[in-house]
Amino acid sequence: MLNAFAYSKPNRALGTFQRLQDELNASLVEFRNGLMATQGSPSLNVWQKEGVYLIRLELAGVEEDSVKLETFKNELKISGERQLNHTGTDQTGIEVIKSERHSGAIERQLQFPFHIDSSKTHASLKNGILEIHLSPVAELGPTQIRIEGQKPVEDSAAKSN
Amino acid sequence: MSNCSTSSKPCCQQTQLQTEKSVRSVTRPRTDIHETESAYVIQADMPGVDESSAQVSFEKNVLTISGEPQFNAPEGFESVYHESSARYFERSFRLNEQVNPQELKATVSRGVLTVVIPKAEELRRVQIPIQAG
Repeated sequence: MLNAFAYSKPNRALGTFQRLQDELNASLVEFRNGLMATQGSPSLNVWQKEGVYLIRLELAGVEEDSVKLETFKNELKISGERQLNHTGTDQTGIEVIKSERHSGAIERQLQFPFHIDSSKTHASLKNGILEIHLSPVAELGPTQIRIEGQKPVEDSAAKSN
Repeated sequence: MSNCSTSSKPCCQQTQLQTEKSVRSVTRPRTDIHETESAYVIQADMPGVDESSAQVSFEKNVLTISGEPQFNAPEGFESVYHESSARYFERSFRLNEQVNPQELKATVSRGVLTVVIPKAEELRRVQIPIQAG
């Protein structure tokens, strides 16, 4: 009984400390993301399943026509431009009260540990999220080159059997 | 109009309490506020939010916008690299002037939530014709 009481207190304190640490970490990550977004570098997440990679990038308010995707060897480059339009009202006498949203050039470059197959790469932009599916170029194993006049490999294997 | 999060008004305390209760981190969406002759316009970046996942509420002159985008990857996908976790956007604004909540208009397009708050008739600027004396 005494032990339970004696140990419960530091655990609770540790739990509180852990929670504070988690909140601090989350707020620092959020701060970094916000800072990156204002520098034209929106945050992204990458998932993978059986060699297919899924990339989601936050591009709120960006139109399809102003985004460009390029692949070169193992690099994926996402570039674009965001223009803010203050729709939903008559444009007369607009006065800025608060301006936090970034406008201008956007660019992110990603490097993968494989060459990207651009023919299998497709992307969509929905609700301000750019979703990219990409696949690596199919792995090429060692190939044997037959010398002219040499018998086919299958025949020699069949003979040895 | 003042940003609620920079003041110690009751609405902010309420928001913090709600956050702790539900134990999820809240992202304050980056927001532009413009004033025109007839209205205030609030535009908030909430990528991934659509009309079904966005909420706009107005109570006691405090406008609260919120939204929770779908975050999870499709079945079977595992995380390789991530910079942001599941988001819950929320932000409150205290409006100084009397506003008719029935006249608020909210739209979501490309992950940007726009709220138009029309000014009351008596607060709009009036041009007074000058006559030759």
